[in-house]
Parts: sequence; structure tokens; C-alpha cells
Amino acid sequence: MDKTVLNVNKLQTEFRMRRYTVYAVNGVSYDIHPGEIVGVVGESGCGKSVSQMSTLRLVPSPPAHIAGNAVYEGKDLVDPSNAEYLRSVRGGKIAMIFQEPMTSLNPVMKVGEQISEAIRLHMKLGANEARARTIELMKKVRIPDAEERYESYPHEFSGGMCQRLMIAMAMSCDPDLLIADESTTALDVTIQAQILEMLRDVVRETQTALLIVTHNLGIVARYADKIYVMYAGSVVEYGRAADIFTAPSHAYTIGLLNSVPRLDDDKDRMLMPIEGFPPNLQSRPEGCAFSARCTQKLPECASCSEFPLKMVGDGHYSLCINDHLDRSQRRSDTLFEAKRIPDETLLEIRGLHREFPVKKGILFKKTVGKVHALNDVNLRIRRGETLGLVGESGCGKTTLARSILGLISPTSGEILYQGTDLTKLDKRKTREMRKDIQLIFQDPFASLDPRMSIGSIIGEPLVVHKLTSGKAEYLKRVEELFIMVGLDPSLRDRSPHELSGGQRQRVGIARALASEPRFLVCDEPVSALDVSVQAQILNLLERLQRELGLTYLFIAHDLSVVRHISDTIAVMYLGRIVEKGDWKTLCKNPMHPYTRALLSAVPIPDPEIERTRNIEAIKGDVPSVSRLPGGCSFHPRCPYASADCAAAVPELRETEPGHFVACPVADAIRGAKSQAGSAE
Amino acid sequence: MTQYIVKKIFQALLVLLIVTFISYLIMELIPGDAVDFLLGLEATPEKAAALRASLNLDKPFIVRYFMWLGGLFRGDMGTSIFYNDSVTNILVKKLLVTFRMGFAALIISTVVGITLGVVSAVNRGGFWDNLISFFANIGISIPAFWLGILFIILFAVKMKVLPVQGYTDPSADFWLHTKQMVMPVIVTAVGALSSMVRQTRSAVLETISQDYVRTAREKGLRERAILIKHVLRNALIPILTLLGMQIRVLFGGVVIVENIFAIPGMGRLLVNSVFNRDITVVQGCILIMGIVVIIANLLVDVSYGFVDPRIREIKDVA
Ligand SMILES: Nc1ncnc2c1ncn2[C@@H]1O[C@H](COP(=O)(O)OP(=O)(O)OP(=O)(O)O)[C@@H](O)[C@H]1O
Ligand code: SF4
Ligand code: SF4
Ligand SMILES: [Mg+2]
Repeated sequence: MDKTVLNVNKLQTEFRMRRYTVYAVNGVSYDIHPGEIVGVVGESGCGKSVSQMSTLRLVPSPPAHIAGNAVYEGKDLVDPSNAEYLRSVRGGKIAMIFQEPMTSLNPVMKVGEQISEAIRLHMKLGANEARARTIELMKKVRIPDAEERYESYPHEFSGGMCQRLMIAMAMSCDPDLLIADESTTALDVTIQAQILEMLRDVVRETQTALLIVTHNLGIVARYADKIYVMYAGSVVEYGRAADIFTAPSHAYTIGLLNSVPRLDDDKDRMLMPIEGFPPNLQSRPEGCAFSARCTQKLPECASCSEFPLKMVGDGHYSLCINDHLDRSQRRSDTLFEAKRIPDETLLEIRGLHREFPVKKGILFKKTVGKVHALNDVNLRIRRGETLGLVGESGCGKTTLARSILGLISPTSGEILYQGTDLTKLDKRKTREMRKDIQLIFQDPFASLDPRMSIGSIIGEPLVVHKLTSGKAEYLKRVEELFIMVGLDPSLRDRSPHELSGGQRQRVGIARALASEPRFLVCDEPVSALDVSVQAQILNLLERLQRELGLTYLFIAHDLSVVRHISDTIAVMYLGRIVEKGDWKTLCKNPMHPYTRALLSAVPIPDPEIERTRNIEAIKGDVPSVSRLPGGCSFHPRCPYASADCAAAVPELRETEPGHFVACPVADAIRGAKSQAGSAE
Repeated sequence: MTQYIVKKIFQALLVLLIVTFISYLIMELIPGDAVDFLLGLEATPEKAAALRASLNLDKPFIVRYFMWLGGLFRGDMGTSIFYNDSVTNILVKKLLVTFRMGFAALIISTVVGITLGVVSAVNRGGFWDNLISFFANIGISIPAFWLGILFIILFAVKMKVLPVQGYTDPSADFWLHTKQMVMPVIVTAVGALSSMVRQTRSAVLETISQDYVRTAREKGLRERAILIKHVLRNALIPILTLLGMQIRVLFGGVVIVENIFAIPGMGRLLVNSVFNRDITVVQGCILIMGIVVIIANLLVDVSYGFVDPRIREIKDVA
């Protein structure tokens, strides 16, 4: 391991905009060796992507100005005089895979052509040889029918397959280094696991160095050998993966680890968010960039101007000058007082179906099929509880939420709220009911009117439902709401774009609370947020539930978040509930093969656990809801599927009190697994 | 795809029917008719009535429209009252003149427009971009008749390099023909060219910032290869859309330009016939222009499919 593939030294990138400068990368150094998997983690905007793109000069310049060097094979790639050389390296010896696989491929060019283009360019092969090599690569990344699919266009592939094509493209010229920038973030967890497993196998086999850029600590714990933690454009700590997780030596790393919910938390742990927000980097951070949010600050931290990398262990370095960091916080359980949930039904969903016609055509739309978005959904939510609904994209979560809110009407079935069927209410009654049932959106950016001040956004429901009499009462109530969600009332005149993502989500919550609802539907409320801010919002939701006696339907694709906040969990797959039960039973004793796959696909931010965990990777993509597989919809991907599975839709049956599973052979599978487990 | 085209043609014919009907109606609503013009001062009520009867002008409007329509199906576009000749004969002569000019203007505006648009986008914010954008903005807002007069004064009257107006058949004197056509073609093309520049520029800029262009760059391709293979083809869709509309705009321009430069084409014929209340000729002109626009749009529509596989697929389903 003495040979380095790439050696990056004091890299600096700043974007000199007309009115201000963004100091995106401030002196980043790292090196990477053949066959090594390096993880770069940090929150959004901390310069992870810009530092990778700067080494290949892929940032738009101007406005970007890059300094420092990135040495590959003895030549500095950052040096403009090596531009010609850099071009021959780019996509050849150093290749990148980006976040959005669907948009990263040219929509009007055959995918095979796009891959062979790079091969012809870098390997100087003829058209036929390049084609043969492309097909071989497509087979390697497990694209079925590679020969025929060569001629296909990107829109004919799913997101996961596009990403595999991108990997094939990146691997096409036997690179020495592969940079995967959030390359699985946009994908469903089961697909993410598939892709990452494949990527790891490929690089191990070819001794390619792999650099994974991600904000997901679980992923680096599972795959990385070495980890670089970035904050505000600098590497604040780096070392072997195991050391970073067992002995984090920078207050930021510790904060990060404390704020993520984990699948293996043994108790109802209260998350420890990092208060405040990352700096906007419009001035060069002086001293310790983290000091404004640091809870372990020393008096010296403010006065000290030099923060040299200091060795804290073998190959483990940190910028933090506090030698006595408190790491114990990581597991400290500031337990909420256990919730007591009465056995009283607040909302009950019975036999809910929703079909959407699939229309195609430009002028004369024609119904060519239908999507069964909700298929016989039955759920019961008790007063005061949180029901977590998980499932991959397109499985019908949002359709369910919108049905409850009366935004779409179901094809059949009942939604009983305190005994009244919401689907049968007229417009006026529905509007009245909306006071009681409120929605928190996924995207705090899109859901707030940019022309309104946040004070009037929060106060709007008060006016609409005529809940306050008089100006004074209105203002008082708005202020109350601000304080309730932890927003400074002096922000009231700002407009939404002047707030951070977390603050915006607080505004969304305050607005939802204005009409004193009893039931909140939270549709992916934290998925657009950074982990440290996500923890703030999750804690806020939990606190509000206790204080105001709220009931939540909490929808998310992230199982560790759902597990953290929910009392009961329902797992959805292609419009059906496949398993439900209280959180503990469901997570400890998952029965349905899909739930099991989902759980094992979620990486846990702990390398020790990850190393011993055995991943039940499932094959294939999520089928389109418009072409539902018959019988158990999961059977094309299920490792335990038998002929019976394709024949009949399995019923949801109770395997133990309160635990329902829609798979007839679930017990047998579990039994076999645990026996195999104990035999080992 | 064929099914799609058949459907499109059917829709287009429907539109054509409505357009010809409306133009017939408008001609009807303008006071006066051909008889008033033919007889002029000699008109007596008896003479006029007799002539009207012989020309079928005494029949109700709707009947006449359907008579005209029926004629079309027999391949007969009717007879011009004013020229006393079949409309088909009259149009064929004029059509060639107009088409030659319109086609030249279309080619120039498209080729030059796309080239300048790309140059402008690639040098975004630079000298060439500013210069091109400046003239494109002027070109869009300047009225054709005003530009025509300006050109005549400048090149014909002051500099005397080009003939003021008139038309010579290319078979008679090709050089003179060319010189006579320079100004009309340019004046017709300017508006279309300017909008083409702007459309191309914004389409290319939009495409350049797409993720797949970043991918192409990451692959190590040269900027020129990226531009040609990845950017231009994707930018072509909005350009094609504009091209479809340009044909219509060009026809509008031709009508004005032919009148300024005294070119005996369809535009001039149309205007004169409106004044003469020569309803069959007006209908003929409108019909021909409509058909050309429809064909052009169909071509554009079909070519979308060639450029973008996603559109091809949607059309196959439809
Ligand atoms: N083209 C650009 N022009 C100006 N500023 C930019 C540009 N690209 C990035 N930045 C800024 O550089 C900083 C670092 O961005 P970067 O994309 O590297 O963050 P990141 O760590 O990759 O975040 P994420 O997790 O969201 O991908 C941010 O403040 C960002 O706003
Ligand atoms: S250097 Fe000081 S302020 Fe910065 S992270 Fe360490 S303890 Fe906190
Ligand atoms: S019913 Fe069959 S296919 Fe469905 S989950 Fe169970 S074993 Fe798998
Ligand atoms: Mg990034």
C-alpha cells in the first residue's frame, strides 16, 4: 500500500461571484491507495462534491478559482498547463459517478453508444471492439439482455439500472480511481444496497481505488476502509473507519454520530442534534469553523488561530484541540418518559383502494392501463400514537396520505376518523375536518409561498378558519406558535427563502399546528434535511406529541428514522401493506421477506456491527405499479418465492398478537434462518 | 407512427376547413362586393343584379361557401371574377415567385440563426454574445415594412447598389433577379433569424447545464465533441418547435415585403384580391398558405421523433 493513486494537497476552491465569494473548499488534503475504499462524509454544502470535482477541474471556472494540487502519476491535474493531460485522465483513469443517474445520461443517445464513446476515446479501440467491450461491461453490471439493451435509450431503464450503466461507463477504461459522489442517494434502499455491494465487489476484484462521497454514515461504516470527515470546506478528522466510529476525536464527528437514528438503538433514545446551522462559507472560516455550534468548546478555541492536524492515533488525525472530548454522549439516552397509549381508535382505514388511469398521448389522451396505487389497505391508528409507514418510492405512501386529507378520493373503502367516514363528507365538512387533520410536507422549500412573510404563513390558518378574534389575539397566538416550534418570533417578517431548510420545516410545522389539530400526517418531513437538523425536527415532533397529545401518521422511506419515532410500523410494498406490528416486534422479529430485506439493506453507522452483519440482498428492481406482478407482488424479487406465490395474493394474517404478515411461509423462513444462525 | 401522422393530417384538414370558412365569412362582412368594383360608375341596379345572378353572388353566403368547397373536391378552385381566369392558373404563376423567396429566407434565417445562437451561447457573457444578442433584440422588434423602406433608401436610393424594386424572372435575367431579391429576402428573414438566434442561444445554454453534459465532460470528451454530439441534438427540440412557427411568420412577412418591393407573388395577389373583393382568389391564397403551413408542421412533428426517442415512443402509443 505504499503507492498512492491520487495525492491531493491543500486544495482550495472559491467561487468568486459578482457580489460575494463562496469559500467552498479550504485546504483539503487526502490520498488514496490502490484497492482502497475511502469515504468522505459531511453535511450538505460542506464542500464534499466541490473538492472532488475540483481535482478534475469539473467545476465551472469562472467563477471557480482552484489552488493547491492533485497529483496523479507525477502530474498535477489542477495545473491549467496540464489541461490536455487532464482530459486524457478524466473518464479514463479517474472516473466519476454522480448522484442523479436518470439525468446523468444523455436522453437522445443510445446507452451503449454513450459507454463506448468513452472506450473509443481513451482506449483507442475501433467501433466493433468498443461495442463488444461495452456489452461485456453491461453484463458485468448485471444488465439483462445486454446485447439488445445496447440499443436502448436511458428512459427505458429504471433509476437503479441507469446507475449501473453509469458504473459500467465509469469502469469502462479500467480506471485507477473511481469517485462515487452520492451515487446511491437517489435510489431506494434495497437498490442502494445492491449497487454498493456490486461496486465493492468490482473494485475489490480489479484493485481499483474507490472514493465514496456521502452524507450517510451507515454507508461509510459498511464499506469504507478510511474515512474523511468534512465540515465547512475542511477535513476536520480522518482515520481508519473503525477508529472514527469507536474513537471519534473531533467534536463535530461526535455530534454527527449522536444525531443519527440507528437501526440498532436498543432504547427509545432521544437524538442529540447539533444546534444551529452550518456556516454559509461566504467568509473564510477563521479558527475552528465548528466553534459556533460546538458544545465542548474550550476557552482556547476562541483565541487559538492555528488548528494544525494533530495525530490522535495510528493514522488518525483531527483538527480539534480539545484532548478530553466527551464521547460518552454518543449512547446517552435522555429517555423520554415512556408514552402511554390508550386503546382508543382515532383513525381507521378499511379496505382502501385507489386506482389511477394511465394516460398516454399528446392530444387525444387515451387510457392505456391503470395503476393500482392502494390495494386493500387496512390500518388502525390509536389516539396519541405514531404510526410509521415505510416503503420504497412509488409504493403508494403519498397516495394514502392524500386520501386521508381528502385531497384525492379513493376508488373504494372507508377512512373513519372518530367514527365519521371522511370519504363521504361534502366539501364544507371536509374543510372543517381539515382543522383537525393537518399535513406536514416533505419539501419545506416548495410548500411555502415565497412572497409571504413567515409570520403570515403561520397565521394563515388562523384567518382561514377564523380561530382568533382581534389583532391582539392573532399576534399572540402567532408568537405562541413560533415559540412552540423553537423559532425566534423576531424572524416573523422574513420571507421563506431567507431561512434554512430546518427553519423552513419548523415554519411548516407551526402552520400545521395553528388550527390546533389532533392528527398530523407527516409525509417525509425530514428527508430533505441534513442529519443534524433532521434530529432537531424529530425531537421537536416528539416533544410536541407529548405536550399537545397529537397523533401522527409518519411516512418515510428511511427505516431508521421511522423506527426511531414510531410506536407502530406498517411496511408497504406496491400498494399493499405487507407487514405491520409494534416497532419493537417488527424490527426485532421481521417476518416478511421484504421487511427483512429492507432492514438488512439499511446500513448501520457502526463498522463492527456492519462487518458481522449478513446482508439479505434482494435481486431485481421495484416493478412499475402499472404492471403489477400477479399473486404476491414481491415474488419476482423474493428469494423464497415458490410457484404458489405467483398464484394467489397472500392474506395479512396475525402471527403473534398485534403482528400481521402477508406471507404464508414467513414463519418457516424465519425458523430456518434462526436455526442456521444458531448452528454457526 | 403512421397512425399518428394520419391522425395529425385529419386534424389539420379540420383546421383548414374552419380557417377557409372564417376567411369567407370575413370577406362577406366587408362592405361591397366584386360587382361594385367591376361595374364601377356604370352601375345601375338592374345591371348589378344581372351580373350578381350570373356570378351566383345573389345566393346566400353559406350556399356559396359550400359550392366553393364542392369545387375543391373536383379539383376546381373556382374562377377569378377580376382576372377572368381560373384561380389555379393564377396561383401557380405567383406561387413559384413567393416560394423561391420564402424558401431562401427560411434557409438563411435557420442556418445563420442557429450558428449565431450557438456562438452566442458558447461565449456567454463575452463580446460576441453581447454583440449578437444586441442585434437579435433589435431584429425582433423592428417592423418589416420599416426595415424595407430603410433598406430601399440606403442601398437603392443613396448607394445605388441595388435596384429599388421590381421583379425579373430568373430565366430572363438571372443576375438582375438575384440583385432584386437580395433586399426582400433579407427583410423577410430578419425577424425569423433573430428569434432563431435567441431560441438557439437559450436552448443551448439550458442544455449545457444539464447533468449529462457534465457526464460527457467527465468522460474526457473535447468541448467541440460535447457541443456537437451531446448539446446540439438535445437543444434541437425547442429549435424545431420554433421552426414550425417560423413558416407562418414568414408568410406574414412575405405579404408585406412583396407589397413594398412590388414583387408579383402571392402576398401581393392576396392584398390586391382583398381590395377587389375577388373572393375565390383570396380563398385560394389562404388555402395554399394553410396547406404549406400544415405540411411544414407535420415535417417538424415527424422530425421530433427522429431527434428524441422519448417522443417517438409516446407517438407510437398514441
Ligand atoms: N457553481 C457554483 N457556484 C457557486 N457556489 C457553488 C457552486 N457549486 C457549489 N457551490 C458552493 O460550494 C459549497 C460546497 O458545495 P458542495 O456541493 O461541495 O457541497 P456538498 O458537501 O457536496 O453538499 P451535498 O451533500 O449537498 O452534495 C456550497 O456552499 C455551495 O453553495
Ligand atoms: S476545536 Fe474547540 S470549538 Fe472546535 S470542535 Fe474542538 S472543542 Fe469544539
Ligand atoms: S408470499 Fe412468497 S413471494 Fe411473497 S413474500 Fe412470501 S415467500 Fe416471498
Ligand atoms: Mg454533493
